[in-house]
Amino acid sequence: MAEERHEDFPAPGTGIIIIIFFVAFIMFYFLNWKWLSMVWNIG
Amino acid sequence: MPITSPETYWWKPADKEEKIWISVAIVWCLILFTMMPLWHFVGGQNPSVEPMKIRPDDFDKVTGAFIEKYKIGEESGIPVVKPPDGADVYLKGQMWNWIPILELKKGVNYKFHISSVDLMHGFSLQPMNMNFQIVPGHDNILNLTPTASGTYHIICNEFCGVGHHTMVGKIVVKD
Amino acid sequence: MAANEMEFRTCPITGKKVYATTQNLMWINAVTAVVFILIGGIMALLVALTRLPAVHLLSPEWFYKALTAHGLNMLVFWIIFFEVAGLYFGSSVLLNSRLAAPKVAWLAYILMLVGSVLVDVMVFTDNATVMFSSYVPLQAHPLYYLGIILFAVGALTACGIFFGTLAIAKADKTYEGSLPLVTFGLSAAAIIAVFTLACGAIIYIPTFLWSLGVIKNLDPAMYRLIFWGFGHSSQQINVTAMVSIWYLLGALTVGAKPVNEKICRSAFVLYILFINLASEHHLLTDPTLSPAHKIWNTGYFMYMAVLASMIHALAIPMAVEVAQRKKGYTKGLFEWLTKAPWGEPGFPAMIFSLLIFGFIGGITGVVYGTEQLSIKSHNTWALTGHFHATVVGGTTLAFMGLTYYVIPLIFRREIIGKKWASAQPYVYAIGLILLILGMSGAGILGSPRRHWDVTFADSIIPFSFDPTVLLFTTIAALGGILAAVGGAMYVGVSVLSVFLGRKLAPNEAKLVY
Repeated sequence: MAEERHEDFPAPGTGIIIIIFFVAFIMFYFLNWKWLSMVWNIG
Repeated sequence: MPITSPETYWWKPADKEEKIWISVAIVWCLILFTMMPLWHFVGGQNPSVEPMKIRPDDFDKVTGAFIEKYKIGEESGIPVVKPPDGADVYLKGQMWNWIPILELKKGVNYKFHISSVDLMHGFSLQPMNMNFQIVPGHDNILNLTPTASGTYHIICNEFCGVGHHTMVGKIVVKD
Repeated sequence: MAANEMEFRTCPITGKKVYATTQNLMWINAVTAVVFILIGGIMALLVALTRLPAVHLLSPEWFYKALTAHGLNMLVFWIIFFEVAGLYFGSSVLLNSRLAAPKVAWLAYILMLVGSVLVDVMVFTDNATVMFSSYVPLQAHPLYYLGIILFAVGALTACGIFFGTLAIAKADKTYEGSLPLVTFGLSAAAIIAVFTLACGAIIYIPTFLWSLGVIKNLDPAMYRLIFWGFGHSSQQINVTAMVSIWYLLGALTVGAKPVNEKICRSAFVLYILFINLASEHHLLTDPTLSPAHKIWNTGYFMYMAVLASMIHALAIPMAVEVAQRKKGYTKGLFEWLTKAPWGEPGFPAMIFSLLIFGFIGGITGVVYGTEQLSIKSHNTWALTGHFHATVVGGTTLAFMGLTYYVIPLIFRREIIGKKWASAQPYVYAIGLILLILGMSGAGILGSPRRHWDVTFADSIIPFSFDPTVLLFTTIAALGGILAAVGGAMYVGVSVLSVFLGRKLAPNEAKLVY
């Protein structure tokens, strides 16, 4: 099944790069919320 | 080619993979959007909500009165002030000091009024790394609650002239 | 340089008509851009050597002056002069059309030149150490503001020439069907430029009058709001122009063709509609806007533009991969990438530009532009890291890559120092990555931007950062020095080639090699 899928998608390498990009994006985004939650409370 | 006109009919449906990525991207953008209002309900850190104007002269006077009332000493020529719990706290940015030095209590909420009497300054509390733009003529009102005791420093991170890099203030938080 | 408006030659590689007037105007704008990147680059080196804790070269007065000059020469003069050359290319050359009103285009150039020289003279004579943002009430000499106004009017006129040329091409039917994608992208950039330069006029004209004493009070918060409509939106012009150039470089280096024109074009339209109002993210920690306003602007408006960037992030590598696979590089997941023309300067320039812009610049930009997260990053050195990833790693590197094709194709000169040209994108990109990681690391730990001394040696109240900050600062400064070397290689190769390179015969077909 996985190989068939590769044939469908004209750019599997790009797919991998995009997934890495997206994971990096999500991680850095939520890491920043974590850092923010550690500072003094501001209301 | 992107440097020549496309064939006459180019308004074609996207491939399945492109559609998947665009859908993922839209969902992600919605999550990015939702986090901000959500944090106002579940998070403890939200920037100023009370836009207020104040003339630099007036702010200078109010800060002066605040210092006079609660002053407990002096350090390097800068007054040290210990406001009562929950008081309004005034912090003045000027070339190139933050005035006064503050002594606060851990876990108590203070209503900070921060403004400048000359140029723009950048309130940057270290080592927590919390940053706010301080604009002359505008009062940056922040309800701050120190969550840990210790000595904190305020540096300036908005260029304010040739002494900008010497501008350091101090907040001491006691248990 | 007066050439007959109708005189043209046909490019032996692309088959495009290159009009002599267009060629001359592109030449003068591009060469001027390179002069400004040289000035900005020398300033960058001085700033990096001052930020390097072990050297700490300049005095504070000189440091802030050099930093002001660095920002203006790079961010405004280098990029916009180059973009004007790009606009003339995208309209006249790509559409096979004569350029609209070449005399007015020369006037636009002269306005921009006078404006930029005026600004530089004011900065270097100590009359305008106010940084790129020149926040009121920090005041510069009136001629500084006048210089910016003249420059903006000139750039706006150049946008008018671009639109005029599109109209002429349409009327003369020099192309069939829709605009080429690159021209379409550049049109989006030019539309954004009109809004941006209008904001520049709205804010700099009263500021100019204020510096003359005609206006007594200018609200600093209002200045910030409108200034960033100019200051950040001008970076959106860069983004849009850069994405267009990615498509162009993809076509020139590997013959990449957009997989779906509809999607690429729609993404450019999203830029036009949504990117400008996102500029308000500069004001997230200001005491002036309500949270609802901030969330609305950064949320709704900004993320629609983010969506557009994410679409291009897929479309461009996908176009490259599809083109390479068609050539037979189909082994495994990445043969298309490993067998790519890494020795052609345009290819690594495009790939590094895409990676640095997307992975570092894009992600950090979205994060730092979030209402609450801005508290952690506002005015720290991490911000400087962000925009060096977008504007330098992204835009400047893409422009550099394009230069190596403009010289043989448009200016008809053979590149001198091809090995240097091939190595240049690598040196520059590695330097920049170190610079950006160093700035970001130090900034996340709290290190401020625009700061002469992060050891606070002269402060009344002593303070020192965690030593890690100094480590990151050193990495950033060393990266900055390496990037300055890469920049010098670029200036060297392009200046030598343009002035001393062998003239190519009219029918000689030659890319870089």
